[in-house]
Amino acid sequence: MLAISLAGTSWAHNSRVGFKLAALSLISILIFFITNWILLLFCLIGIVFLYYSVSFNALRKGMNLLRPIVLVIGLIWIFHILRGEYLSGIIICLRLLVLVALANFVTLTSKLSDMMELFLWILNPLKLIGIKTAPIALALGMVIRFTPVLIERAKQLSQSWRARGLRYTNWRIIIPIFITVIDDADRVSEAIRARGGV
Amino acid sequence: MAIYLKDVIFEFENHRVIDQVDLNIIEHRVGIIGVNGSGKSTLARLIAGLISPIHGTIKINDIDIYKDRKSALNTVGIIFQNPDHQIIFPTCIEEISFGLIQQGITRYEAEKEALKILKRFGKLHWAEQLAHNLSQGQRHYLCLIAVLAMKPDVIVLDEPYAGLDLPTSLRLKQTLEKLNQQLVMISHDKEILADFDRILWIDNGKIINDGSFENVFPDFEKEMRRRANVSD
Repeated sequence: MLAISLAGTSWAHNSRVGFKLAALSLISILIFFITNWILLLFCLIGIVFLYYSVSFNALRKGMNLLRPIVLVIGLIWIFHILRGEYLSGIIICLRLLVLVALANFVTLTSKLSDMMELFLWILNPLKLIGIKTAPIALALGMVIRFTPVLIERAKQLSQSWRARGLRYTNWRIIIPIFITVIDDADRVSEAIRARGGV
Repeated sequence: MAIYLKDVIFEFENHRVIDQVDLNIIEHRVGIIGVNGSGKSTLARLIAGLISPIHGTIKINDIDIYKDRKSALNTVGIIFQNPDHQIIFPTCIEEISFGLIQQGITRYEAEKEALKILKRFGKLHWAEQLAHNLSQGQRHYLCLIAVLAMKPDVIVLDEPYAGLDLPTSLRLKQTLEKLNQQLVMISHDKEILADFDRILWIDNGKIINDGSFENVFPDFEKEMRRRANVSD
């Protein structure tokens, strides 16, 4: 049971999810107007303080969450260097870092049930044409909730692989991961049914 | 309080998992025993209304618990063997509130109710904690609290003691003993089943022995020993 979530009652936890997501969307647009890398670096430092204002633990968790995308960002940067576009490479990478860090911040400090409530509100117009929105909101919530579980599953299985195998895991592990995930999904749908969901 | 099964059949991929089971359970504490693959968990899921039999009727207090989910929520709750299969939400308070909201109260009321029950169990500090930061035993406890919050008449437990350390399982035992609800529990634990009012022994999808602990368990044990000594 893992989730991108941080327990707590800080100011960030207490702010409305709608407000946080709206701010995130707005910043996502505005950031494309910033073309100065020093300014972007300041944004990144600002985000460090943002995390730190919640707690030191939040900062640490935020850094950990960025780890997987650092590789991708590195690749993008190398690609730009190869094309001789040093500066625009730096700018794009910094933008990505800022946005992902901010998005993680919102997820970390928001309750899943609040997110689902917001989805329901956004989906409200669909009700007019007779679509049941509750299952859609639950499905969206489950995506947020179970993405880290998938990653954890993949890790576990690759450990079992290595425990009895000589080489590092390869693509063949994908099918077992897929199967265990479907199995997990069955269990969770039972759990939801047991307590009346959908 | 009565759990009623009439001529219940359940098949999975042409394999008959539950084979014409008739039961009328009115006892307060009922244990289900049997070897792995005998159909215990399937029976538990049928009683909890999670799956529908291909033939026959299952009712609890005259409610069709598969079809009438709304009434079923107030009637029966189930605790799975693995709490990680049960816990849906990241924080404890969301996890407990979920079922209450499904029962038709507002989120505000549900959270108030959730805090109340956490307080009753002396776990108020869990409210904002993440469920995955709790220990295995604590997560089990959380699942139980989440089900108890919904105030069902019957609670089905699928090997609740599996994988728990001694203090945790003793505490769970004490908690379960105090409950007013009718309990249907899958277990292998002789000590725990000894206090039960009725034991159902299931084998190959059929109830092959049914009665008091003293009448059923010794035979079960003898048979298990016999099977252990017979090579396949």
